[in-house]
Amino acid sequence: MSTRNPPPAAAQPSRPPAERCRDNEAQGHAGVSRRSFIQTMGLSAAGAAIGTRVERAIAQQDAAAGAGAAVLGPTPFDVTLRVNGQDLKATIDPATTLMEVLRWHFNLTGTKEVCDRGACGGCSVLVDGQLINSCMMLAIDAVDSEITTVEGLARDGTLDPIQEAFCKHDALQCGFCTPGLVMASKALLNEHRTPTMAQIKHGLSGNICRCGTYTNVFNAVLEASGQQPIIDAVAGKGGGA
Amino acid sequence: MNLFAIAQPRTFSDAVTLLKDRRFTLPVLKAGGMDVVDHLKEGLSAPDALINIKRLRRDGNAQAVSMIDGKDREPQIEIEATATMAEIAASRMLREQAPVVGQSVADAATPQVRNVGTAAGNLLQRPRCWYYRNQQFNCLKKGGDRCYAVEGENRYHAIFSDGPCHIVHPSNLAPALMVCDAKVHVMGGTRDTIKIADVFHGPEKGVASEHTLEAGEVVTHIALSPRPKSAFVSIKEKQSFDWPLVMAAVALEMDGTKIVRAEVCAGAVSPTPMLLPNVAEALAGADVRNDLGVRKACDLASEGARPMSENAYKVKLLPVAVFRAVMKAAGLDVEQKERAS
Amino acid sequence: MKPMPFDHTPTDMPTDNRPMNMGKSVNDNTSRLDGPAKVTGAAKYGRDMYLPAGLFVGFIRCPFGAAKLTASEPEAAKAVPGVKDVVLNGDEGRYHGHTVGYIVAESKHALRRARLALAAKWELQPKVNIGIDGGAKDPPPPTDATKAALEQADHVLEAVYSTPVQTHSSLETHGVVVDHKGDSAIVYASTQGTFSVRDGMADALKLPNSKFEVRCEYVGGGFGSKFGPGKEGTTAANVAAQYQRPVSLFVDRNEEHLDTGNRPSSKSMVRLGFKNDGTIIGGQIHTWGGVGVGGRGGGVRFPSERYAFGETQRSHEDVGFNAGAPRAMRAPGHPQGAFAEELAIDEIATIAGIDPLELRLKLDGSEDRREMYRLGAELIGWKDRRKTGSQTGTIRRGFGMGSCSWGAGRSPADAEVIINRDGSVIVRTGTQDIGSGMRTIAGVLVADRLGVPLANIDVQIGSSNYPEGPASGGSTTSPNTCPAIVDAADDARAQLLKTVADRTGANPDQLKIVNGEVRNSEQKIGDWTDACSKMPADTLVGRGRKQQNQPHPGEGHSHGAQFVDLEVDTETGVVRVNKAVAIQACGRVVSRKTAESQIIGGVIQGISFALFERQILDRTTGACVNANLEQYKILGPADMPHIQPVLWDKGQTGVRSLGEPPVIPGAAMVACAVFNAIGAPVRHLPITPDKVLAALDLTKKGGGT
Repeated sequence: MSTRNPPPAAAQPSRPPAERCRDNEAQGHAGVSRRSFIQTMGLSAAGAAIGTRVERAIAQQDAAAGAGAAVLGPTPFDVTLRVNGQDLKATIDPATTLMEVLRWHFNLTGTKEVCDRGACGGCSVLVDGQLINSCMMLAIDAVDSEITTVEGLARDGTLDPIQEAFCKHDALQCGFCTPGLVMASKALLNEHRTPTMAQIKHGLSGNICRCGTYTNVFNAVLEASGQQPIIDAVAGKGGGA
Repeated sequence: MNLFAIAQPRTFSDAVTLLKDRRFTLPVLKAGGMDVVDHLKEGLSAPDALINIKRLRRDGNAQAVSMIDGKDREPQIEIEATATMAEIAASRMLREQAPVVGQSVADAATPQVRNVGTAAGNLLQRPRCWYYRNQQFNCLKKGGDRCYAVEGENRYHAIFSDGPCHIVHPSNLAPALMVCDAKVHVMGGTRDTIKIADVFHGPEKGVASEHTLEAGEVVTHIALSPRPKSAFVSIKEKQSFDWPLVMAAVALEMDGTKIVRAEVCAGAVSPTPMLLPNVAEALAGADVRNDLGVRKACDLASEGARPMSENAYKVKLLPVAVFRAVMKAAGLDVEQKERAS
Repeated sequence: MKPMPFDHTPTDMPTDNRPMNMGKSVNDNTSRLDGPAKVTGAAKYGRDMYLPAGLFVGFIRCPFGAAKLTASEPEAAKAVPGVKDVVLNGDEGRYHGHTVGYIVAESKHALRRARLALAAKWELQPKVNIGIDGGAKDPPPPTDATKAALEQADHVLEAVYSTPVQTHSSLETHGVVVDHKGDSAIVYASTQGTFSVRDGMADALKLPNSKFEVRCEYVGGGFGSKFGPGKEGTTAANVAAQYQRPVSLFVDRNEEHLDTGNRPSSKSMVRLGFKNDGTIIGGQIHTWGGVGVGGRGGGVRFPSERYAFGETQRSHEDVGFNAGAPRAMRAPGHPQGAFAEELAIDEIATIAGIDPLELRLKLDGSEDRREMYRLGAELIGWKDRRKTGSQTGTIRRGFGMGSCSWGAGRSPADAEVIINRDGSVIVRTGTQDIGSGMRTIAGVLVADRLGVPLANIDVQIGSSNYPEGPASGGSTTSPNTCPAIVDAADDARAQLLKTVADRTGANPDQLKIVNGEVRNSEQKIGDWTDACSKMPADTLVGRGRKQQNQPHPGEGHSHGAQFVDLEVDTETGVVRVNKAVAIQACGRVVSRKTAESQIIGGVIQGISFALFERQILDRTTGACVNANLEQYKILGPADMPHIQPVLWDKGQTGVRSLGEPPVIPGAAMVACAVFNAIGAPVRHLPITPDKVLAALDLTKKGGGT
């Protein structure tokens, strides 16, 4: 509630990693067994390399069946997602998006739900370093990837340079678009170490801010990339003042 | 979204088999998922299984974009079906060999979408028509009895359609591939390749879908010919995330400043990407330094347009987009020149 | 309250009439206090509160402008796993988004599936009205005075201007989470008025005000639309009271465009007579405001009274139609009015052959604003402006300008400042920070008044358990809360110094705290930490109050002027804005960074309104076809001009709010600049390529001006 409590270095999910999530969302499937219900089908040659976490789980659970295309759902199944360096488990409805798992199952609410249609960038996270809209990615597609959310940027209580720059240049007002813009800025700087203004605008063009922070966001990106921010605000103007 | 199973094939062969699997009534292919997930969220589609081909490549190490030399034929560029728009835009080889292709996706959608949207997905995506995308409107495409755009809000709809449906095909990539003699490679049906122009069909041939892929047919990759002098131009209301009002893709064969041969394709003006042979013919033999002559040829782009009540402005925009694409393909940056004057 | 010895203005007047003292300008450049929480995702908004065993509620809504619910399958919806209840309480839909019931479910997925399973069938009603034109009456006939003015005139401008419905589009949608524990409750609201929510929830919660708390620590935008509990709050509260479980009700993005308020559409008809030298003699201005279903507040601020318009016959009509009703949106009535007014002035200037800047210098009676105009013109490079209609190239450059003026309202406010024995300080006010920086302003002010570092200050806001503060509307938060905070800080400081005086025998009137040092006259006798550690009690509480009717130093109008430099591609009709300069009177600046941010944000909303935004209703069915962030177009990073804010503090007393004035001139100046560039006015927002091309066609045919 107060400004004195320092923000957690990387917001911890509300449950320890190993524990499965049994909150409202999973409860939604009242009467359905929580055990993942997985079928495998012997379609292609056995012995094909099993690469994904999910498939490892399948292999373990159903070693008798031949290897082949795995089929999950339609009932809830277990997934393990690697988020901010931690393995987090959840039992999910197949239609669950990455955004929903992060927010509902792991209580990582830094990633915001804004439009739920991939039009505004508010839910942006990095998946294997790539900037994506988590609301339009099914959670299953993020298994076997390194997921980075806004909670995962600060290290040991120290803000990432882009986060510091956002604060310094007041690149935020209500703050709701801020996590998405921070992630988009981070992705941009990963791709262009010293981006031009055109590259900055292009790189952030998937994010919408209604309060109007773009000018300061651009300056934050310039600062974080070691370039000179464009500051020509005039203060104290007027008459004899 | 309804409840569905998710199948994760490891090869295109598996995917083809899964599409025919009798356990599934309505299996749907999902690559990047942008369009599939949108349909699910809007209640437009209720598959009982998603066949998840995200990141599926022809073999584990296939490059997103590659050049295949032929012994007795010109080299072909190959783009994996699941190459992302970002990978296509980033390809240096494409930038040199067929700039129209990279340009078509470099500014499309948003960085986030480009990281997941795929080549085949872009070609096969459903229209953005706001009546189609609204589950409450039982339009022709969804089995209903009329096109709501005709008497409704049609400012973004087609200027070249005799109906009964008036969508514009939303793909940026399609017009670009159309001027590169592209062929879409498929498996699971009765054929191996489909010429790009034959991938799409207009509403006169049916409205339930916009493409000619057979049930169970899966795109594996796209092959196209190099077009080093080519360019793509789109005109949008907003420069951040917006769908183009019109698009133009142009490929030129030049002899000095003379255009020997041109290929021209328009986008966002008709239910399929639309080749403009009249413009191409008029450009053949023209000198790019002859501004007026080139413009006159490009004006033919709007010949035969039949605008709807709100979109006559597209008739003016299309020749401009075509002209700018011609000049860009020829290596002349028109906008820069005009800004200086 | 006994008058305290301040550094500055003497205060020996009785409390009720005493203007609140603000002290010298703080003009601090501190970074926003909640920056770290927001950039790390630690800040929890109402929408982020997922509580164990929580329920989710979603509305059932009419999908068309006028329709009747003829069939539905509530049993099928209830049979969806996870659904607890389906409540239908109406069958008449008078606009897209009109609620006719709600669904209660254990999860969002179940909720969405239930909506589909409900299979609601709606029968379209034969008539649907999609805007002002559908129902507007003719303007009243011109009076004799109007006729005379027009007859005397050298020229008459006859024009109609219009603006579309603009939606607030807060990124956090409307909603609440109600944690009902039976005999008490906590409401996590997304609101601009913590207390306005509290005051509307008691009945629905079946609890008295004293038994529940409304919390709003962070809110993702409001822009005028989030006052009171709303139907989201009362519905959630009813369900929570019924089930005695936490309930989350946050509307989806499409619903946010339909039924949470909007800036009403407008139409302005003018017939203005003016002389060759640009003096406006007078005429008639009639306006219409589109107010949806059962709405009000479609007024258009035109004339703004910033320019001399002579004698104008003025009338207005609110027109209902089949759409969601308006709610106040950042400077209600002003941007629409400014658009029509400023463009009309530019048209008058062009006909009269006068530079529009010169004309405004002539028509505007405020020397303050005229100084701003001169400065703005210099900063934007007005000398590069070409005569309207004189350019022939493909890319044409245009310059435009506009002005604004806004008075801050009065409201009561309470605040507390608590000094703890360990030297830490808490400032508490129940008001909220919707992104304006109120939290930061509070901390900076208290640090300044107590003479201690900001790091010692803990700002606690956004709870109805705290002292009551104003809602964030009408640009009232800062001007009204700050005096209360200052008073509270001064009270706390005085109490602390009294303990020092009691302990040391010093004269309390000669004690002060400067930079953490306690001084007797100019002699250091101790430090803050020491003084606090020796307090007789563990805490002392300073209180401040600003009464409703007390004027605050931020009263009087906040003036502003904005200038824009843009270019129009005359082949495509696309407008690209190069630069904007925004000069804003902001009184005694407390926090520079947040002040500049407010100004920049207002400019962006204005430009976005000019070029992109409009709610589009299907003319056949009345459905909104762009209830999303894809086709409802908001200015994004690639559309950004360079924006230069100018903080104007001449002759300004007291803290002023900047929530509203900066949003007023944006669309106006863009419209003027486009007119300058192409030689024909686009009188209807948004200024999209089709309209620019159509206007250019007029110039080719010799029309326009």
